Amino acid sequence: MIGYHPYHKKRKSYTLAIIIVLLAVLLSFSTFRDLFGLRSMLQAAIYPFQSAAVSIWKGAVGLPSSLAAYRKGAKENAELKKELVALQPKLTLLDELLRENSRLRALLFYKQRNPYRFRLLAAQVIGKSPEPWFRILEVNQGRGAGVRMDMPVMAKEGLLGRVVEVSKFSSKVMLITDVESSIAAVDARSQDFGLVKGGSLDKLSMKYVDAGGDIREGDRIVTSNISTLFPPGIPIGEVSLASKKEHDLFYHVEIKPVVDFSKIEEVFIIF
Amino acid sequence: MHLLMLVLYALLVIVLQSVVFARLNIFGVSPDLVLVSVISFAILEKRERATLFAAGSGFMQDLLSFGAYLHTITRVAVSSLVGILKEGFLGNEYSMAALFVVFFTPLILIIEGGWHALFGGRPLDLMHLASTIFVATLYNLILVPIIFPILKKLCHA
Repeated sequence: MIGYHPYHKKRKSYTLAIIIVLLAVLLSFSTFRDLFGLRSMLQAAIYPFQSAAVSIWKGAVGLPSSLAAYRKGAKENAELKKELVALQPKLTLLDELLRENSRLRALLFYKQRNPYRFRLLAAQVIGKSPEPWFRILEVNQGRGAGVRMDMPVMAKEGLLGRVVEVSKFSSKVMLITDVESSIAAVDARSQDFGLVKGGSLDKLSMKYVDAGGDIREGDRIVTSNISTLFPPGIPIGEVSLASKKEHDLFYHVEIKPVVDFSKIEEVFIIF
Repeated sequence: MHLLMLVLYALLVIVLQSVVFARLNIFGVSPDLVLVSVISFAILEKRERATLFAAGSGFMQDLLSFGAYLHTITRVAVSSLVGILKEGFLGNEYSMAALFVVFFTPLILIIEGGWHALFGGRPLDLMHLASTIFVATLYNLILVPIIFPILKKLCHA
Protein backbone atom coordinates (compact mmCIF):
# COMPACT_ATOMS: atom_id res chain seq x y z
CA MET A 1 0.00 0.00 0.00
CA ILE A 2 2.87 2.35 0.85
CA GLY A 3 4.50 1.72 -2.50
CA TYR A 4 1.23 1.92 -4.41
CA HIS A 5 0.41 5.51 -3.51
CA PRO A 6 3.37 7.28 -5.19
CA TYR A 7 3.03 5.05 -8.25
CA HIS A 8 -0.65 5.97 -8.50
CA LYS A 9 0.18 9.68 -8.17
CA LYS A 10 2.97 9.43 -10.72
CA ARG A 11 0.65 7.71 -13.20
CA LYS A 12 -1.96 10.42 -12.62
CA SER A 13 0.56 13.17 -13.37
CA TYR A 14 1.74 11.43 -16.55
CA THR A 15 -1.87 11.12 -17.69
CA LEU A 16 -2.41 14.82 -17.01
CA ALA A 17 0.69 15.75 -19.02
CA ILE A 18 -0.36 13.51 -21.91
CA ILE A 19 -3.89 14.97 -21.94
CA ILE A 20 -2.51 18.53 -21.91
CA VAL A 21 -0.04 17.77 -24.72
CA LEU A 22 -2.83 16.21 -26.81
CA LEU A 23 -5.04 19.23 -26.20
CA ALA A 24 -2.17 21.56 -27.12
CA VAL A 25 -1.54 19.62 -30.35
CA LEU A 26 -5.22 19.83 -31.19
CA LEU A 27 -5.33 23.58 -30.53
CA SER A 28 -2.05 24.37 -32.25
CA PHE A 29 -2.35 22.59 -35.54
CA SER A 30 -6.03 22.02 -36.18
CA THR A 31 -8.90 24.13 -37.34
CA PHE A 32 -9.84 24.63 -33.67
CA ARG A 33 -6.83 26.88 -33.08
CA ASP A 34 -9.05 29.95 -33.00
CA LEU A 35 -11.02 28.27 -30.17
CA PHE A 36 -14.28 29.44 -31.74
CA GLY A 37 -13.40 33.09 -31.09
CA LEU A 38 -12.15 32.50 -27.53
CA ARG A 39 -8.52 33.15 -28.51
CA SER A 40 -9.40 36.68 -29.57
CA MET A 41 -11.30 37.24 -26.32
CA LEU A 42 -8.37 35.99 -24.24
CA GLN A 43 -6.04 38.29 -26.15
CA ALA A 44 -8.39 41.17 -25.34
CA ALA A 45 -8.31 40.11 -21.67
CA ILE A 46 -4.50 40.31 -21.55
CA TYR A 47 -4.47 43.69 -23.33
CA PRO A 48 -5.20 45.92 -20.24
CA PHE A 49 -2.30 44.35 -18.35
CA GLN A 50 0.05 44.89 -21.28
CA SER A 51 -1.16 48.46 -21.69
CA ALA A 52 -0.60 49.20 -18.00
CA ALA A 53 2.85 47.58 -18.10
CA VAL A 54 3.83 49.70 -21.12
CA SER A 55 2.78 52.88 -19.29
CA ILE A 56 4.78 51.90 -16.19
CA TRP A 57 7.80 50.90 -18.30
CA LYS A 58 7.74 54.13 -20.30
CA GLY A 59 7.33 56.16 -17.12
CA ALA A 60 10.29 54.42 -15.49
CA VAL A 61 12.53 54.66 -18.55
CA GLY A 62 11.60 58.26 -19.29
CA LEU A 63 11.80 59.56 -15.71
CA PRO A 64 15.42 60.84 -15.72
CA SER A 65 15.01 62.61 -19.04
CA SER A 66 11.61 63.94 -17.97
CA LEU A 67 13.09 65.61 -14.90
CA ALA A 68 15.86 67.18 -16.97
CA ALA A 69 13.42 68.26 -19.63
CA TYR A 70 11.02 69.78 -17.10
CA ARG A 71 13.11 72.85 -16.36
CA LYS A 72 14.04 73.31 -19.99
CA GLY A 73 10.41 72.84 -20.97
CA ALA A 74 9.11 75.70 -18.84
CA LYS A 75 11.44 78.16 -20.56
CA GLU A 76 10.64 76.78 -24.00
CA ASN A 77 6.94 76.92 -23.26
CA ALA A 78 7.06 80.65 -22.64
CA GLU A 79 9.05 81.22 -25.84
CA LEU A 80 6.71 79.03 -27.90
CA LYS A 81 3.67 80.88 -26.61
CA LYS A 82 5.17 84.13 -27.86
CA GLU A 83 5.89 82.52 -31.25
CA LEU A 84 2.37 81.12 -31.43
CA VAL A 85 0.86 84.56 -30.95
CA ALA A 86 3.06 85.86 -33.77
CA LEU A 87 2.11 82.94 -36.04
CA GLN A 88 -1.64 83.25 -35.57
CA PRO A 89 -2.15 85.96 -38.23
CA LYS A 90 0.01 83.98 -40.69
CA LEU A 91 -2.13 80.88 -40.11
CA THR A 92 -5.30 82.82 -40.77
CA LEU A 93 -3.77 84.08 -44.01
CA LEU A 94 -2.72 80.53 -45.00
CA ASP A 95 -6.23 79.25 -44.33
CA GLU A 96 -7.59 81.88 -46.60
CA LEU A 97 -5.04 81.02 -49.30
CA LEU A 98 -5.96 77.34 -49.02
CA ARG A 99 -9.64 78.12 -49.50
CA GLU A 100 -8.85 80.35 -52.44
CA ASN A 101 -6.61 77.64 -53.95
CA SER A 102 -9.27 74.94 -53.75
CA ARG A 103 -11.87 77.35 -55.15
CA LEU A 104 -9.63 78.17 -58.11
CA ARG A 105 -8.82 74.49 -58.68
CA ALA A 106 -12.49 73.69 -58.77
CA LEU A 107 -13.01 76.48 -61.24
CA LEU A 108 -10.22 75.12 -63.43
CA PHE A 109 -11.65 71.58 -63.19
CA TYR A 110 -8.31 70.57 -61.74
CA LYS A 111 -8.34 66.97 -60.76
CA GLN A 112 -6.46 66.68 -57.54
CA ARG A 113 -4.07 63.78 -57.88
CA ASN A 114 -2.93 62.98 -54.40
CA PRO A 115 -1.38 59.57 -53.88
CA TYR A 116 -1.22 60.20 -50.14
CA ARG A 117 -4.92 60.60 -49.51
CA PHE A 118 -4.83 57.85 -46.91
CA ARG A 119 -5.89 58.31 -43.33
CA LEU A 120 -3.43 57.52 -40.54
CA LEU A 121 -4.39 55.94 -37.26
CA ALA A 122 -1.79 56.42 -34.54
CA ALA A 123 -1.04 53.37 -32.40
CA GLN A 124 1.33 52.56 -29.59
CA VAL A 125 3.55 49.48 -29.45
CA ILE A 126 2.46 47.40 -26.46
CA GLY A 127 4.36 44.21 -27.11
CA LYS A 128 7.04 42.64 -29.21
CA SER A 129 7.32 39.03 -30.23
CA PRO A 130 9.79 37.38 -27.87
CA GLU A 131 10.50 34.65 -30.40
CA PRO A 132 13.65 35.18 -32.44
CA TRP A 133 12.03 33.62 -35.55
CA PHE A 134 9.44 36.33 -36.14
CA ARG A 135 9.58 40.09 -36.42
CA ILE A 136 6.18 40.92 -34.97
CA LEU A 137 4.94 43.93 -32.99
CA GLU A 138 1.71 44.19 -31.06
CA VAL A 139 -0.04 47.59 -31.21
CA ASN A 140 -2.92 48.99 -29.18
CA GLN A 141 -5.43 49.45 -32.01
CA GLY A 142 -7.66 46.62 -33.10
CA ARG A 143 -10.90 45.69 -34.76
CA GLY A 144 -12.74 48.21 -32.59
CA ALA A 145 -10.80 51.05 -34.21
CA GLY A 146 -11.42 49.72 -37.71
CA VAL A 147 -8.12 47.90 -38.18
CA ARG A 148 -8.27 45.05 -40.70
CA MET A 149 -5.89 42.38 -41.94
CA ASP A 150 -3.13 43.44 -44.37
CA MET A 151 -3.43 47.15 -43.60
CA PRO A 152 -0.05 48.85 -44.13
CA VAL A 153 1.73 50.26 -41.10
CA MET A 154 4.38 52.94 -41.06
CA ALA A 155 6.63 54.76 -38.60
CA LYS A 156 7.32 58.46 -39.00
CA GLU A 157 10.51 57.65 -40.94
CA GLY A 158 8.98 55.16 -43.39
CA LEU A 159 7.38 51.79 -44.00
CA LEU A 160 7.18 49.40 -41.06
CA GLY A 161 5.06 46.42 -42.14
CA ARG A 162 1.49 45.18 -42.37
CA VAL A 163 -1.22 43.93 -40.04
CA VAL A 164 -1.27 40.13 -39.86
CA GLU A 165 -3.62 39.47 -36.94
CA VAL A 166 -6.42 41.55 -35.45
CA SER A 167 -8.22 41.20 -32.12
CA LYS A 168 -10.70 43.59 -30.52
CA PHE A 169 -8.25 46.01 -28.90
CA SER A 170 -4.92 45.09 -30.42
CA SER A 171 -3.28 43.95 -33.65
CA LYS A 172 -0.12 42.17 -34.65
CA VAL A 173 2.11 43.81 -37.22
CA MET A 174 4.63 41.85 -39.28
CA LEU A 175 7.70 44.01 -39.85
CA ILE A 176 9.26 44.34 -43.30
CA THR A 177 12.39 42.68 -41.86
CA ASP A 178 10.52 39.40 -41.28
CA VAL A 179 11.69 36.68 -43.67
CA GLU A 180 8.14 36.23 -44.94
CA SER A 181 7.77 39.90 -45.88
CA SER A 182 7.93 40.84 -49.58
CA ILE A 183 7.19 44.32 -50.95
CA ALA A 184 7.07 45.68 -54.48
CA ALA A 185 9.50 48.60 -54.51
CA VAL A 186 11.32 50.99 -56.82
CA ASP A 187 14.51 52.99 -56.80
CA ALA A 188 13.28 56.58 -56.39
CA ARG A 189 16.03 57.88 -58.73
CA SER A 190 16.21 55.33 -61.55
CA GLN A 191 12.73 53.80 -61.13
CA ASP A 192 14.27 50.30 -61.26
CA PHE A 193 11.78 47.79 -59.92
CA GLY A 194 12.40 44.98 -57.44
CA LEU A 195 11.05 43.03 -54.47
CA VAL A 196 12.23 44.05 -51.02
CA LYS A 197 12.53 41.00 -48.79
CA GLY A 198 13.30 40.63 -45.11
CA GLY A 199 16.08 38.56 -43.62
CA SER A 200 17.64 37.61 -40.32
CA LEU A 201 19.10 40.31 -38.07
CA ASP A 202 16.87 43.12 -39.45
CA LYS A 203 18.47 43.05 -42.90
CA LEU A 204 16.65 43.90 -46.11
CA SER A 205 17.52 42.87 -49.63
CA MET A 206 16.06 43.84 -52.99
CA LYS A 207 15.55 40.94 -55.37
CA TYR A 208 14.94 40.75 -59.13
CA VAL A 209 16.41 44.14 -60.00
CA ASP A 210 17.24 43.86 -63.69
CA ALA A 211 20.99 43.83 -64.31
CA GLY A 212 20.38 46.25 -67.19
CA GLY A 213 19.09 48.85 -64.75
CA ASP A 214 20.96 51.54 -62.90
CA ILE A 215 20.88 51.15 -59.14
CA ARG A 216 23.55 52.76 -57.00
CA GLU A 217 24.60 52.83 -53.38
CA GLY A 218 22.85 55.62 -51.52
CA ASP A 219 19.70 55.47 -53.68
CA ARG A 220 16.39 55.76 -51.85
CA ILE A 221 14.03 52.78 -52.17
CA VAL A 222 10.30 53.47 -51.92
CA THR A 223 7.12 51.43 -52.29
CA SER A 224 6.02 50.88 -55.88
CA ASN A 225 2.69 51.92 -57.35
CA ILE A 226 2.10 48.35 -58.55
CA SER A 227 1.85 47.12 -54.96
CA THR A 228 -1.67 46.03 -54.04
CA LEU A 229 -1.05 46.40 -50.30
CA PHE A 230 1.10 49.48 -49.84
CA PRO A 231 0.49 53.02 -51.12
CA PRO A 232 3.24 54.23 -53.46
CA GLY A 233 6.14 56.43 -52.42
CA ILE A 234 6.61 55.36 -48.79
CA PRO A 235 10.34 55.26 -47.97
CA ILE A 236 11.71 51.79 -47.20
CA GLY A 237 15.44 52.30 -47.03
CA GLU A 238 18.66 53.27 -48.68
CA VAL A 239 20.81 51.05 -50.91
CA SER A 240 23.88 50.04 -48.89
CA LEU A 241 25.25 47.60 -51.46
CA ALA A 242 24.54 47.16 -55.17
CA SER A 243 26.64 44.77 -57.19
CA LYS A 244 26.43 42.48 -60.23
CA LYS A 245 28.74 40.14 -62.03
CA GLU A 246 29.20 39.99 -65.78
CA HIS A 247 26.59 37.34 -66.63
CA ASP A 248 24.17 38.01 -63.78
CA LEU A 249 20.54 38.57 -64.68
CA PHE A 250 19.84 40.56 -61.55
CA TYR A 251 21.61 42.93 -59.20
CA HIS A 252 22.57 41.88 -55.69
CA VAL A 253 21.11 44.70 -53.60
CA GLU A 254 21.22 45.21 -49.84
CA ILE A 255 19.14 47.90 -48.17
CA LYS A 256 19.56 49.75 -44.92
CA PRO A 257 16.04 50.39 -43.55
CA VAL A 258 15.09 54.00 -42.78
CA VAL A 259 13.33 52.84 -39.62
CA ASP A 260 15.27 51.78 -36.54
CA PHE A 261 13.18 48.74 -35.64
CA SER A 262 14.66 48.37 -32.17
CA LYS A 263 13.34 51.76 -31.05
CA ILE A 264 9.80 51.83 -32.40
CA GLU A 265 7.20 52.93 -29.89
CA GLU A 266 4.64 54.80 -32.06
CA VAL A 267 3.30 53.60 -35.38
CA PHE A 268 0.63 54.68 -37.89
CA ILE A 269 -1.83 52.31 -39.45
CA ILE A 270 -2.76 53.36 -42.98
CA PHE A 271 -6.47 53.21 -43.89
CA MET B 1 1.31 27.86 -4.17
CA HIS B 2 -2.31 28.92 -4.24
CA LEU B 3 -4.00 28.50 -7.64
CA LEU B 4 -4.93 32.19 -7.89
CA MET B 5 -1.35 33.16 -7.08
CA LEU B 6 -0.19 30.76 -9.79
CA VAL B 7 -2.45 32.36 -12.39
CA LEU B 8 -1.35 35.86 -11.35
CA TYR B 9 2.30 34.87 -11.51
CA ALA B 10 1.81 33.38 -14.99
CA LEU B 11 0.07 36.57 -16.14
CA LEU B 12 2.84 38.74 -14.68
CA VAL B 13 5.51 36.65 -16.39
CA ILE B 14 3.74 36.85 -19.75
CA VAL B 15 3.25 40.62 -19.53
CA LEU B 16 6.86 41.16 -18.44
CA GLN B 17 8.03 38.90 -21.25
CA SER B 18 6.12 40.69 -24.00
CA VAL B 19 6.46 44.26 -22.73
CA VAL B 20 9.70 44.65 -20.78
CA PHE B 21 12.01 41.80 -21.76
CA ALA B 22 11.14 42.05 -25.45
CA ARG B 23 12.53 45.60 -25.28
CA LEU B 24 15.69 44.45 -23.51
CA ASN B 25 16.77 42.24 -26.38
CA ILE B 26 20.35 41.71 -27.48
CA PHE B 27 20.75 41.17 -31.25
CA GLY B 28 16.99 40.60 -31.44
CA VAL B 29 17.09 37.89 -28.76
CA SER B 30 15.17 38.35 -25.53
CA PRO B 31 15.25 36.07 -22.49
CA ASP B 32 12.58 33.42 -22.07
CA LEU B 33 11.17 34.25 -18.68
CA VAL B 34 8.43 31.64 -19.10
CA LEU B 35 10.86 28.80 -19.75
CA VAL B 36 12.99 29.71 -16.72
CA SER B 37 9.83 29.89 -14.58
CA VAL B 38 8.54 26.55 -15.89
CA ILE B 39 11.86 24.84 -15.11
CA SER B 40 12.09 26.43 -11.65
CA PHE B 41 8.50 25.56 -10.89
CA ALA B 42 8.94 21.96 -12.02
CA ILE B 43 11.87 21.63 -9.60
CA LEU B 44 10.06 23.22 -6.67
CA GLU B 45 6.50 21.99 -7.05
CA LYS B 46 4.57 18.75 -7.47
CA ARG B 47 4.30 17.44 -10.99
CA GLU B 48 0.56 18.11 -11.50
CA ARG B 49 0.83 21.76 -10.47
CA ALA B 50 4.00 22.24 -12.48
CA THR B 51 2.33 20.74 -15.56
CA LEU B 52 -0.71 22.98 -15.13
CA PHE B 53 1.50 26.04 -14.74
CA ALA B 54 3.50 25.04 -17.83
CA ALA B 55 0.33 24.53 -19.87
CA GLY B 56 -1.27 27.80 -18.68
CA SER B 57 1.78 29.99 -19.20
CA GLY B 58 2.60 28.28 -22.52
CA PHE B 59 -0.96 28.86 -23.70
CA MET B 60 -0.78 32.55 -22.73
CA GLN B 61 2.55 32.81 -24.57
CA ASP B 62 0.88 31.25 -27.61
CA LEU B 63 -1.88 33.86 -27.44
CA LEU B 64 0.72 36.59 -27.89
CA SER B 65 2.69 34.69 -30.52
CA PHE B 66 2.42 34.33 -34.24
CA GLY B 67 2.63 31.30 -36.51
CA ALA B 68 2.49 27.76 -35.17
CA TYR B 69 1.60 27.70 -31.48
CA LEU B 70 4.36 25.54 -30.06
CA HIS B 71 4.77 27.01 -26.60
CA THR B 72 2.08 25.01 -24.80
CA ILE B 73 3.48 21.71 -26.03
CA THR B 74 7.13 22.53 -25.47
CA ARG B 75 6.56 23.99 -21.98
CA VAL B 76 4.51 20.98 -20.85
CA ALA B 77 7.14 18.62 -22.27
CA VAL B 78 9.94 20.51 -20.47
CA SER B 79 7.99 20.54 -17.21
CA SER B 80 7.33 16.80 -17.41
CA LEU B 81 10.95 16.00 -18.29
CA VAL B 82 12.28 18.14 -15.44
CA GLY B 83 9.80 16.40 -13.12
CA ILE B 84 11.24 13.02 -14.12
CA LEU B 85 14.91 14.02 -14.23
CA LYS B 86 14.98 15.91 -10.91
CA GLU B 87 14.43 12.71 -8.95
CA GLY B 88 17.80 11.32 -9.98
CA PHE B 89 19.69 14.59 -9.62
CA LEU B 90 22.40 14.93 -7.00
CA GLY B 91 23.13 18.51 -6.04
CA ASN B 92 21.36 21.62 -4.88
CA GLU B 93 18.26 23.12 -6.49
CA TYR B 94 20.04 26.17 -7.92
CA SER B 95 22.58 24.13 -9.85
CA MET B 96 19.77 21.85 -11.02
CA ALA B 97 17.80 24.85 -12.34
CA ALA B 98 20.90 26.27 -14.05
CA LEU B 99 21.75 22.93 -15.64
CA PHE B 100 18.23 22.40 -16.94
CA VAL B 101 18.17 25.95 -18.36
CA VAL B 102 21.47 25.32 -20.17
CA PHE B 103 20.12 22.05 -21.53
CA PHE B 104 16.55 23.02 -22.45
CA THR B 105 17.07 26.53 -23.89
CA PRO B 106 19.10 25.34 -26.92
CA LEU B 107 16.89 22.26 -27.32
CA ILE B 108 13.69 24.34 -27.43
CA LEU B 109 15.23 26.84 -29.86
CA ILE B 110 16.41 24.04 -32.17
CA ILE B 111 12.96 22.40 -32.09
CA GLU B 112 11.13 25.69 -32.71
CA GLY B 113 13.52 26.89 -35.41
CA GLY B 114 13.49 23.48 -37.07
CA TRP B 115 9.71 23.34 -36.96
CA HIS B 116 9.32 26.77 -38.57
CA ALA B 117 11.87 25.83 -41.22
CA LEU B 118 10.38 22.42 -42.01
CA PHE B 119 6.67 23.15 -41.76
CA GLY B 120 6.46 26.96 -41.87
CA GLY B 121 8.69 27.38 -44.90
CA ARG B 122 10.87 29.94 -43.11
CA PRO B 123 14.54 29.74 -44.08
CA LEU B 124 16.79 28.76 -41.19
CA ASP B 125 20.10 30.58 -41.06
CA LEU B 126 22.44 28.34 -39.07
CA MET B 127 24.63 31.25 -37.99
CA HIS B 128 21.55 33.08 -36.77
CA LEU B 129 20.40 29.96 -34.91
CA ALA B 130 23.81 29.48 -33.29
CA SER B 131 24.07 33.11 -32.17
CA THR B 132 20.45 33.03 -30.93
CA ILE B 133 21.13 29.88 -28.89
CA PHE B 134 24.24 31.40 -27.37
CA VAL B 135 22.65 34.73 -26.40
CA ALA B 136 19.35 33.20 -25.22
CA THR B 137 21.06 30.56 -23.06
CA LEU B 138 23.29 33.16 -21.46
CA TYR B 139 20.35 35.51 -20.92
CA ASN B 140 18.19 32.75 -19.38
CA LEU B 141 21.04 31.64 -17.17
CA ILE B 142 21.35 35.17 -15.78
CA LEU B 143 17.65 35.03 -14.89
CA VAL B 144 17.94 31.83 -12.81
CA PRO B 145 19.35 33.47 -9.63
CA ILE B 146 16.58 36.09 -9.86
CA ILE B 147 13.56 33.94 -10.72
CA PHE B 148 14.36 30.84 -8.68
CA PRO B 149 14.49 32.49 -5.20
CA ILE B 150 11.29 34.45 -5.95
CA LEU B 151 9.45 31.30 -6.95
CA LYS B 152 10.88 29.40 -3.99
CA LYS B 153 9.55 32.04 -1.60
CA LEU B 154 6.17 32.01 -3.32
CA CYS B 155 5.99 28.22 -3.20
CA HIS B 156 6.84 28.15 0.49
CA ALA B 157 4.35 30.91 1.19
